[in-house]
Amino acid sequence: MDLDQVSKEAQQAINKCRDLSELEETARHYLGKKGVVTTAFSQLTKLSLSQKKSEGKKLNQVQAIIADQVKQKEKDFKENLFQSQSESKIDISRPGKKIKLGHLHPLTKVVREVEDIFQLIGFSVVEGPELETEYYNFDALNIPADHPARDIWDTFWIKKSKPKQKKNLLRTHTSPNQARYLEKNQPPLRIIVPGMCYRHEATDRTHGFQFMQIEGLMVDEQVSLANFKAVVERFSQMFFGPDAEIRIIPDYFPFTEPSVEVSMRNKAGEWLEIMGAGLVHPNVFKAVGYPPYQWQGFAFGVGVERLAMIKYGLDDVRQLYQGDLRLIQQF
Amino acid sequence: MIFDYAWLQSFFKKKLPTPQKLADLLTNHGFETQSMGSDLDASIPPSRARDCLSHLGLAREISAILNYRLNYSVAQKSLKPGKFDFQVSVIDPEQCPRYYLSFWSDVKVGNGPTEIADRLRKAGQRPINASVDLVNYIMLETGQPVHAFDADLIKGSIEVRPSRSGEIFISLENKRYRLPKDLLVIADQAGPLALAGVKGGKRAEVTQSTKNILIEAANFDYRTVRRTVRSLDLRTEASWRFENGLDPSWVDLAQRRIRDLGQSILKPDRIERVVDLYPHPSRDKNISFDLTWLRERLGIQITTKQTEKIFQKLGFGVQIVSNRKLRVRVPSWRIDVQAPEDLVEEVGRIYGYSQIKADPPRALLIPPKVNYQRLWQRLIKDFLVNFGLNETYQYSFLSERDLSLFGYDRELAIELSNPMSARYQFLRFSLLPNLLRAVGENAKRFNQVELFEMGRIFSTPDQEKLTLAGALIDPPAGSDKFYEIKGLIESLIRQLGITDAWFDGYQAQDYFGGSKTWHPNHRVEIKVGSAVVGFLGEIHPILADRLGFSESVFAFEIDLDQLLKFASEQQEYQPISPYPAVIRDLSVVIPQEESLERVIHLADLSGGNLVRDVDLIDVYQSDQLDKEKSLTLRIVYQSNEKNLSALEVGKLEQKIIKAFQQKGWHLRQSNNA
Repeated sequence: MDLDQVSKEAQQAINKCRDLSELEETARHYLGKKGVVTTAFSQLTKLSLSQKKSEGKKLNQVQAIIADQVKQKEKDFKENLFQSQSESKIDISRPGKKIKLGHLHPLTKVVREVEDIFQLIGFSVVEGPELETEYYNFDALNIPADHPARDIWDTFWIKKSKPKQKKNLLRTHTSPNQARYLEKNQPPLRIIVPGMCYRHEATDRTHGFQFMQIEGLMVDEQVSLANFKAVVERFSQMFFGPDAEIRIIPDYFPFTEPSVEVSMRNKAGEWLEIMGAGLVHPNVFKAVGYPPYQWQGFAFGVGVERLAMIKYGLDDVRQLYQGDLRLIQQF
Repeated sequence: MIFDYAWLQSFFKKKLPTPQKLADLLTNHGFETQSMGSDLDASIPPSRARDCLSHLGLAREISAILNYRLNYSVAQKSLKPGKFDFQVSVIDPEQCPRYYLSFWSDVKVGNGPTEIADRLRKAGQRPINASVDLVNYIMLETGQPVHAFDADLIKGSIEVRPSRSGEIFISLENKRYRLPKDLLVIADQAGPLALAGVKGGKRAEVTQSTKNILIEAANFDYRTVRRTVRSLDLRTEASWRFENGLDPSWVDLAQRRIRDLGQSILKPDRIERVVDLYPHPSRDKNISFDLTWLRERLGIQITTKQTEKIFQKLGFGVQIVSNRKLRVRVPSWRIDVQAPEDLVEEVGRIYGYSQIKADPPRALLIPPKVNYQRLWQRLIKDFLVNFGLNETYQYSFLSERDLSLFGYDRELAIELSNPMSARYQFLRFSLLPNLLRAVGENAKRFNQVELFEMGRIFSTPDQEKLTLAGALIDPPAGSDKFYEIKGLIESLIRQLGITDAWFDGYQAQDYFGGSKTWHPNHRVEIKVGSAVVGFLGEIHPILADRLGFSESVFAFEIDLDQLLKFASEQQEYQPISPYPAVIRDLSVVIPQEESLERVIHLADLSGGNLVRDVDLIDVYQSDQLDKEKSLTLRIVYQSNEKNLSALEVGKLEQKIIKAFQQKGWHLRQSNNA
């Protein structure tokens, strides 16, 4: 084989290539597994040792030359390509493509944030049933049957299927979980209990017959109202921001003594009630079988819708249960 | 209750703060109050309705809050008993703990004095005549309802007794009531004169021509009064007060005070006591009170002196036992104060909660328990939101129509005995009815609606389950939606660390009995092991149409209580193999009704450990193949220990082919990639 000839032909072929794929093809024709040069190498075995040496050396040179030329040509092609690529233009002013985004419900966002804040200070999150017994919703909370205070909680009662069946109801607050948790656990303890509650009452902008509440309970040997104040102040600052202003005034709940109401000043300067709270009533401890006056505690119930109203400026709680995307997609 | 500012001022020598300031003070100390000009509208908490639905009651609170001296006194002398030719008796002292009746002879019932008429008007009452105005005034001042009868119109003896079924009572307003059995009435021989604690009757009404009157100041049990109120749906100023449980000692105050005022207004010739039936006088109680405990509960450093003063102003007696112990005498009319904790509230409330300095609790540093259920709930919601679904909350109620529309078993639904309306008669049995309705509403405004809800559903007996449901419309690309949801749920379940979930279309049971919910052939059961955890698929076209959809609707509903039992947080790292994977495709023709999932599963199983992944890359169905379908599987082989040779891969492939052939499936040509 005339290697000079091969080398010359190869150079011509390389020069004739019009693009990268033709170049690749040409390179393979000479340097590939079954290419001209490779084949020539395999034929060296037939020659004598000295011929092998001289032919082999020559062949190596040819191979190197061709490879070099391919490389050079490739570089030329790429430079041209990059040149034209970098000259191309797109309309960068066009808006980005819309990404499909889902949204969490604002009530979920509020509940999560409250859970997170309280977990930071050692409160565990627990849950309880919405379908509740009369005992846990009322009796265990120092609200016996016939107690005038039962009127505060307008209740949805479950129709009995058998006459002897116990009276069940939809919980009117998350407070039944105070008794439920105290029965099954030993103080010291700190919990919060988020969940849906129901009251049989006329609805308006700030009240729904279905709403979400978060119960809080801390029980320890020494717990004071000043402790509660510190916790609730800290909470409101973390939740609403450092300028949050709260007010604690007396209120009445049968299961706390003293009982207080915590209000929050909204943007319009009005006080909006966000929670009822107080020191756990000794009768609640008694109902769950604790020795009297051994443990102390504070409890509170936060209205999730109220928090959402203040935080996001929502003006009608009923909107929160309509699944309206125009509302949900804002969150 | 509406309070007249001037009336309140009359209890004090010192000037009261402005109505606005007074309202704020009352609000901060337990009585939410709004000022309206020279009136105050104070909402009296239920626990204080026994002693504060009166100007005197609120004035006493004001005296404690402001530390002002309360200026109020009533006649000290008891009334002499007279001789009368009629009897007065109370059948059941439990329903009427005290009955006090006085006789006023030769009264002049003209117009009441203007000062009293003015105050009544400001407190929201209409002046009528001297007698009526007087009793109303006494009630608004002391909180104790008082009633006047024309003594000459009463026939025979007076009895406080239960009503008899069918008895007729005609009220002052001439309204006729046919009474049921067992409502407490004041009656003479001719029948009921008044509904005890609720309403006076026409028959013995005091008018301008009345000569002699009987004035009743009585105490009726709150349960008795409530029964009358509910039974007749009749509420009055008097019943409102009795329903909150008045103390029998107020009777004394009221009858003394009415004498003070009545002398000059009605100008009676003489006043005599008829009866004071009071077999079990109420008593003050004593509570031993630990000042250290008080300070610990409130977290304040209050002095003994301050504490003593607060109690005294509230009308409590105080005896200092030692430097940390008080003996507090609580007047009988403060039934709400029973135990030391109630005294803590009294001190805290008057001291002012705004004065308490915040003090962070000191507690053992016990980290909160991780609530995995709650974590999974978060993970699921985030997952669905990341996929583009929007979260909703719906009402937890359904109508009877919903039950039949979706084909739920009525027997399994929990019914309310007092629903808001027929629309909310049952507890929801499934999240889908309300969710689909929300999708429908949104579909009027959006092309693509994808909603989900996580919430509780209910079924008899007393069952409550945490459930997840989603509903989607996305026209016009409806045909792929089924697989999109299937893939979504598959990935979701995998995210929960559950590896043995699968979809079963074979003889699917109706989830919670919703027999009309799903398209019979476009739905699958979601299973983990052998447990059914939910459903996904297309909503039945008939139901979709009934709900107003013109397009296909897809949905899923999963019993999370069940599913989350299988969830696992454990994620074990699988070492990445340094050896290359070999990918081979295999095409097989299978009977039309065969489950693709089973084919994939069989390939995975029969190939052994070295089969890393099996993906379905193509399903082909031609007209000629209408009893069969052809599918192409892409199978990935890989070892952690070595390069797999073509020969080794070939052997594994043969095993799979053999397994297919044993099922009677034949191969089409296989392409190696």
